[in-house]
Amino acid sequence: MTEITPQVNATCLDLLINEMVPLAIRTTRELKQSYEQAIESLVPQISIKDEDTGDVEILNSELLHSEDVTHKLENCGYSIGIRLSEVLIYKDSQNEILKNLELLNIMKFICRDVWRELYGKQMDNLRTNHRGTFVLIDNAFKTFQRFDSPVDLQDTIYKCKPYLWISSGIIRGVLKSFGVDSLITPEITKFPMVSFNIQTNV
Amino acid sequence: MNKGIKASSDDIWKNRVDKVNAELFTLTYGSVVAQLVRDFKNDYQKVNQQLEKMGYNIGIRLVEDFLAKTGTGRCQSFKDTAEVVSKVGFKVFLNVTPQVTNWTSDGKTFSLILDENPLAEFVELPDDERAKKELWYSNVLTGVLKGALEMVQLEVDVNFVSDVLRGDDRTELRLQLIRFLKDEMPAGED
Repeated sequence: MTEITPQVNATCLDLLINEMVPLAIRTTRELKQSYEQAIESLVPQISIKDEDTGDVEILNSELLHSEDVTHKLENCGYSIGIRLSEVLIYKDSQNEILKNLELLNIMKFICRDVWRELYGKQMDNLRTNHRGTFVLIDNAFKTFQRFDSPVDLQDTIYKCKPYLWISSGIIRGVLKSFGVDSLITPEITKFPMVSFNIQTNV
Repeated sequence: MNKGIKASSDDIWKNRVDKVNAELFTLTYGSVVAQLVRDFKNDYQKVNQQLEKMGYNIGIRLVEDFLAKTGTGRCQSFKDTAEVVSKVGFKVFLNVTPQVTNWTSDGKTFSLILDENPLAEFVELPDDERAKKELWYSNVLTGVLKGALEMVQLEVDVNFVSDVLRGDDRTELRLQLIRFLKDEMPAGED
């Protein structure tokens, strides 16, 4: 255990995650624009407007909750989840999870190891109906810590919601790495408390 | 003076910085780049652009954290700035210290050589020849540097000129000072 895991400043990861939603909106917008341009074959080329750099104005975009943005974020999360799972298991081949691959145990692995790695804390609650449905609850979701809309709480919640798709994707990716397919619905129950409703095929 | 900077950044890194597993950071960034490559159907120019834009937004926020944690004062010259970017900035955020080198004689342009690049650990570029010619995988860094330096009144141009991921010998970022921006802080603040 002398090998030290390389580390970076947690702020780097926080800021990177914060920018994932604006990035997904910009990408969606640019793809839409170039599609429309191609159709109308406009000349000369319209430059992509830059009004969205540097502030949070972009979160007012009508694309915030669009399917495209949601899909991109969920997809990113999914590929993080698949790889993170490998990293965690490779790092700790003594992990309990490897002794017992029951679904409940995999969920505990997510609540404990995955969440701790991502957010520095464990999930606060895990419920199940013992028939393949699970609810994971985090009482104070770390990504939301620095988020506060100048408008009101409702606006904060509205703009925070897309960030949950990243975590949903991560959970789906980790489950998939154990061969479990799932459908996940994230929810902001009582800001900053969040829950993930997970339905599995097992 | 350099020794002083190094010792104090080491201390800040050790004692005053919350840290996360670098692999988690690497693979999060990797998934962002991969998603962009898919979205723009391997149009790497567009991917570079988006990464830079994202970096810019990160940079203008990062600088607050940088000033709060390090209490760095105003640099006397662009040479000082180069040292601080490498020995304090990169050190405190990514725990690496790029070499500052290749100064032009007018003292306005220099290179950062990244012997280690936490963004690019375990990364392989897509298996097409164009990616190796067009994609700057770590381009977020150019935006971060531009954004952060702009917030301390320095307009700079930042570009990658080589990257080991492309098969180059080393990873080199080129920074050019365009101009000092007018101080727009309210009176009474330094």
